[in-house]
Amino acid sequence: MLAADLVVEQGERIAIVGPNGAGKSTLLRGIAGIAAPLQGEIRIGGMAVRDLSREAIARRLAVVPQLATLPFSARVEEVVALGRLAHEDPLRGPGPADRAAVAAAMDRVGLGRLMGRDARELSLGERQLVLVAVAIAQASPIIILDEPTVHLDIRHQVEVMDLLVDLNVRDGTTVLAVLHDLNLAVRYFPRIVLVAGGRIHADGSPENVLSASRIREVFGVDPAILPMGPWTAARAERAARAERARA
Amino acid sequence: MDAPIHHRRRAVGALAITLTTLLALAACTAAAPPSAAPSASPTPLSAAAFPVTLTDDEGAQVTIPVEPRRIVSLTPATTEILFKLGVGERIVAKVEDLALYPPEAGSIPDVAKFGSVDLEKVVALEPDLVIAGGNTFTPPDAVEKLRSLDVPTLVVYAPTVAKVFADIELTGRAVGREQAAADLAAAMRAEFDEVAAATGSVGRPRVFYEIDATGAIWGPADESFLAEMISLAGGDPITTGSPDKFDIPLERLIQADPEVILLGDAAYGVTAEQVAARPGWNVTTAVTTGAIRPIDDIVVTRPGPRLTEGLRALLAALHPDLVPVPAAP
Amino acid sequence: MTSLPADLALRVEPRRRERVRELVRRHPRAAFGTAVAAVVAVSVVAVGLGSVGIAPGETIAIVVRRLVGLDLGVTWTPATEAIVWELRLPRVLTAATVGAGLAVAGATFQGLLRNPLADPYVLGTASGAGLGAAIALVLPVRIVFIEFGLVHALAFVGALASVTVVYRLSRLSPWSGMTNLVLTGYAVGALLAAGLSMAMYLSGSSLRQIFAFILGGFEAASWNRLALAVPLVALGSLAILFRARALNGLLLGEEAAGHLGINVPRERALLLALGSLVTAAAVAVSGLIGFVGLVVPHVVRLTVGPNARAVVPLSAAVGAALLIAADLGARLLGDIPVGVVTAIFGAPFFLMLLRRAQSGYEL
Repeated sequence: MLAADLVVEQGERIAIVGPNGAGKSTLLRGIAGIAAPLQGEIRIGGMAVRDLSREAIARRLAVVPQLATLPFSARVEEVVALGRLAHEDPLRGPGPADRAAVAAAMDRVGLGRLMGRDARELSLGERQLVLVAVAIAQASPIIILDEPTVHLDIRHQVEVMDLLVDLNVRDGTTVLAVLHDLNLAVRYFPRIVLVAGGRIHADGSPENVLSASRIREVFGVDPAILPMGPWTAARAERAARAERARA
Repeated sequence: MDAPIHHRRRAVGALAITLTTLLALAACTAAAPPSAAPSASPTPLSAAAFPVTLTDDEGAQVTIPVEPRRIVSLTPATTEILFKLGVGERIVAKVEDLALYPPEAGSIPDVAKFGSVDLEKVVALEPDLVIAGGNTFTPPDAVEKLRSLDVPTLVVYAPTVAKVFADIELTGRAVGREQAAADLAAAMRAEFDEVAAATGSVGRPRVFYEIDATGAIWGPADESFLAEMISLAGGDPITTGSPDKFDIPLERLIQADPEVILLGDAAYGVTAEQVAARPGWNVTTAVTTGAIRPIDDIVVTRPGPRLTEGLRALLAALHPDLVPVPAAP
Repeated sequence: MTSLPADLALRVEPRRRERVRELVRRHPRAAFGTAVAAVVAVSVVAVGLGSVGIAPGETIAIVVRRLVGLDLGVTWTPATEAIVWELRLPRVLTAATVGAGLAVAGATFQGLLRNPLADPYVLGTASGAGLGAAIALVLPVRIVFIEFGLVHALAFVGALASVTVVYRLSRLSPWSGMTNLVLTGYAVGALLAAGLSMAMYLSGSSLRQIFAFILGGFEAASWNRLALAVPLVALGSLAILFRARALNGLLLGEEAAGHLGINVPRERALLLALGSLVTAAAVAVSGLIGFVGLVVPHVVRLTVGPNARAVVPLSAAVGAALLIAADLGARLLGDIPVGVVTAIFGAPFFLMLLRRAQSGYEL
């Protein structure tokens, strides 16, 4: 059960954090149109989700699940091509535009070397990247991710996070990520929504939302908040420079 | 004291003589050549007989345009009937018959066995009449298919003795041997009537006709053909208790206490000694008095011209004192 | 040829078999064309062979005469024409239709239920059809309407009725849709199978016919029956092909499919209905023939990948060719039931597929 009141502007990059069972996934499923709210409504771009067909929702919003199992073997590019389902001709299938989008998505995610491989044989990290590629191929203005880093090692975590920042900064994609890792949330997301006890506990910048007292209160642990290390600082500086160059 | 026994013996003697004479007469009649003329010169009856529309045993109206010269017989009984009516040489194909009769039928190619028909072979032979077995002996789809190819197909099925005679007459009309068939059927009816009359006043022993006892005990169902044959031969058949059940529990059999056990599976090597040795069976009257007799299952159950032979065999097995079996003509 | 050092080995040309596979995968339309050609070829052979020998020239001449009215200057007897046109050709075409239908239905259920072990009978269709047929054969009623007896009608109804029951029941359970369906299908199927056993026990003389139906076969093939079966199977399969997008979407799971833009509840109901319709039509006409619906989609997927747009039509073609060949084999081996032939060849083949899948030998 969740009571929430949330407004997301286009181009924002938001992390949704909170303890287990707080309702983060429920919120996500509500936004994605899978779970209908008992009261109130969810709108995307001014249109109520319940009035939209699933195809229409898919064109506005892409969801990256934690993991997906494949009952049959499929090549990586075939899986990524699934992202185009909302766009391709229902009878004739993918056209040149769709194929280009798939290639671009795989390129963006850095999966070019995996082309032709059986998706079932990939490592967890690679599989998560494939799922992100699917969402990118879907070319929706909003991407929602459900705990995308749970099964990843640190390198792949950073890769995914960098990719999200890139999508957000370069393409203007609105990114909503449910994260369990507070450090990642703080590092990569300028806005954090803290969900706890079935409601939105706090919503704002990382410093405000994830203050020591709040963390103690909501998560029940005693945090030590460290300043940014040199390496992270350098990366942040590089990112900021890139942003300024684009402006 | 003496007088009643004396009377009875004389009555039995007279009856025996009468019966013997009648049976001998019947046997001779049955052995007589069919009264129909050979096919070269058809009697006036045959000439006007075609085209003919007959109603077969499943109620289908079948039109036979000309006297059939290429017949396919899909039941063993039909093969026997056709030979008996003198048109055996017109049979171009038959169903496989493990108890082949008559021996001349051995040269006819087989195109079917129980439950399946090779339609391609049948059609290739261009038959002008097919006689099939009812009650799914011949697959109904095959019958349908042949009829859709305009092959006159009669389905015969004789669940009672009376229907056997009717089928013989039906077959006779279908092949242009109406008179011969009528005579044959009449003779058979007469023989049956005589036996039934003769055994009417004699005691009816309780009979268990064993079809098979390797697993469950298979015997005649209520109101079945076998039960009727046994009744007509002067026996009181022990049945399974229901028209749809074909196996009888041992307890029911023992309670029914057969006075005679007929081994319809004698051809499969079952002997009286084996039966007597079976646990539980030894309390029955039949076993204690040694009244376990083998019998030829085929002639007793085949709905064809040899049914009277089967009746005689049953009579001999059930009332051996009543009548000596006449020698084959 | 000298053996190459390990680091160079990777640059050696891929094996010929893999190259062919790659070609097929890239050009599914050409593959489909080839498969259809194979169906035609097998049909020609199957119509030409049987328990009665007929010269191939006569066979071709008869078919040509009947189809296009052309006289090829060959003579034949009416009996030969009846055998070719009324006995063999309907049988071959029925085998093609049923093979195509079962393969498409199998591919549909495998994709819908995301279960590689699904086949057209997974949701109680087999037991429903069997029970319907048994009831029809046990009832002392005989209704025939253009060669469709009570058996065909009740088998068809039985198949559809059981799927409907399974579908309705499965929605009462809290688990996810597809798991539900499979489990409920198993339970309902078991119940119907018990009913079938009871009917067989009570059937008396009809037992052999019931058995014949369960084993499946094409002895009763006819043009009239084809006239009803072909539209059902063809239209049903075509409709499924039009829903290929939904089948593809389900690859990553039900929820993922929803996110990708598929209306999962609606597609589930539609695909279920279409798959069951095609299965019911196939089963009503020819009984319960196994393995075709299970094995053919797998073989096809191994060659062209999981894209339903390629799998559905190719499964239809391969299924048709396979069943024509199996029926031919059954006929030549002494008229054994075709279900036995598909089992004899299907089971070891399936085991081989499983073995290769496990060893990681994938495209």
